[in-house]
Amino acid sequence: MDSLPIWGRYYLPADALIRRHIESSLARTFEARGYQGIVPPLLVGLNMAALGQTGSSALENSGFPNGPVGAGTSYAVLARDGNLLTLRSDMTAPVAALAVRHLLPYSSPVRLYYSGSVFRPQKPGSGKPEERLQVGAELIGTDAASSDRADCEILTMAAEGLINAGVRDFSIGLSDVRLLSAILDAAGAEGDVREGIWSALAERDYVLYGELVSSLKNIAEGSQNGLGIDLLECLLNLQSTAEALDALRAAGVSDAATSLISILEALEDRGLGKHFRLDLSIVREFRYYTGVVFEGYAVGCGNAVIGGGRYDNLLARFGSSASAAGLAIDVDSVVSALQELEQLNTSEGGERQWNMYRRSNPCSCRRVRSRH
Amino acid sequence: MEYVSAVESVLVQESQVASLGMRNSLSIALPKGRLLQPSLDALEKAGLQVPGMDEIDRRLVYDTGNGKVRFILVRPADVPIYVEHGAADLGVTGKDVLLEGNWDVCELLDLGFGRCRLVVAALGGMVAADAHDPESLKLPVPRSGHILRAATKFPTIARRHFAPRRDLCVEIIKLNGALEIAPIAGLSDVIVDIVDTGRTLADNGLVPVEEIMQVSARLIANRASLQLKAAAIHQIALALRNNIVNHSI
Repeated sequence: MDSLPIWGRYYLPADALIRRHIESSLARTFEARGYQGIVPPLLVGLNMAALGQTGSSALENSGFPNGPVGAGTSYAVLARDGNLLTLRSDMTAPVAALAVRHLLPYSSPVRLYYSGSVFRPQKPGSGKPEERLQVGAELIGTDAASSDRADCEILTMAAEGLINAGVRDFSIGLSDVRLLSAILDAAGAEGDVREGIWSALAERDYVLYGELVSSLKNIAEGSQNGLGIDLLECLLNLQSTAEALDALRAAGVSDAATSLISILEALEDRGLGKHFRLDLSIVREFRYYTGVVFEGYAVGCGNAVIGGGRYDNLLARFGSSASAAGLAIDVDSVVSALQELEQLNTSEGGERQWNMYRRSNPCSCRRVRSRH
Repeated sequence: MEYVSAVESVLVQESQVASLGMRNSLSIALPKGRLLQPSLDALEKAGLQVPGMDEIDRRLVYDTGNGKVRFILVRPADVPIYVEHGAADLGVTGKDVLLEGNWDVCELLDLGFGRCRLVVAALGGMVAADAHDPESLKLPVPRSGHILRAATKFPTIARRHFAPRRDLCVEIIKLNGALEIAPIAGLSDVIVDIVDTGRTLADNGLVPVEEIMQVSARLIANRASLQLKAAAIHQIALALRNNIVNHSI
């Protein structure tokens, strides 16, 4: 019995059912906004896998200190024709490639959603599976996909998707990759210090970050970079959106935040404001992001349940000048958030609010569609 | 004690925002061993109600009277595991543990206690004074050719430290404790270990030959908790930081 050659991740009926419900609830959310399903390939070339990887940290995570091509991927497959392929580590790059090749020539923008497994290397013994079920959506094209409205559409769907799937207590942090650049410019951070601050933030080593910012302060004594450095100093302690905006204005870099501010206002108008906040410390792990970036957390789950952003340069790699923005939801994280919720309701003796057998009514997800 | 109410009121506020439970409690993973007492002291000074040493040693999980803050007692190397998975919102552990593991946690604060050095040490009889700098000692000549065997609890740190050495082929042997015995028993040429006073090393005839870095205790937080329980965590971090600043003055 134990010698059965079973490898990888599997779900028995009870677990599979919850995931199926979440997938279909998300699919309905996306379809209601005109998104069409697409099935990207499971196997991609190593150069495709390399697009999503960050620089040094992804290579370190992979356990290959010398960083061979495709080191950030967990499995390589030797095809019969001798080509080396890999299991996809994200879906954004393959979906974007398919859109550029087959869809954008005929219509633009295209709205696509997908669901399936992605494979990412994890530390051995960490208890984190390398295969993860992901559902996501991408808005790709010219004009309509390049505006703040497109970002807003993605973020609205992010919140709606989670709400419709049954997650009630979540918080999505928003930032813009250009904003950190602008702040570092204002603080006069250059060369190694700039790189260091960036990677300390990415690795969430806020002790090192603090040391680098203090060293910057000592160098810049008396120069006009003081305001930028002040902002760097308080960056991690900014909690409310209002506080963060005030700090940005004080440092004279609020221009870079113009689109973020208008996006936040639009989300507020749609009644979703309480789920979003400005979080300047976000540095997304995938390096193809060029504008707005976000990651969201839910009570009951220790890692991000949702993430995404704008990635205008990725399409240029496939020979297109189109822009794009997208989101991806980690289904297993949604499941643990829902289980937490259920446990809470059960332990408080209240009625079970979330019931996997009862959620089969397709109308139930329309209930919370936000106004706009 | 006034501060207790401050943290708790924040926790209550955050739970009201969410109109749900879970946000109104905070769990903190503490390291067993030498860092435990200073961790408890620091948290107490920061205004939290903490259990006594004997009490927490007996129970491993300790909830403060009103159930708002829970302390979990685990091995130092396991603290980041609890925090990474979100089983604990906050944790205290050594920088050595954080460097070794490449954890996905937020490192919030250098707590200033538990200071010690990560060093390469060898048997006193085998080291030679450096020709260029008589003050410092240098690595022993390996027993066989270029191969230097290093025993350590920190294979990643050791590997990274020896990586630039083109003159040595370093073999790392992972041990789980009592490293001092390895060179004596002939298991390795050197050890890579943390040293506090250096007495244990000296007692076993070992001398430090290279210092890799200084380490100290760090406050770490789960990524999700840092967003969802931001106010409570920042309040504790701020109080801890103020105490460190006051202390150093």
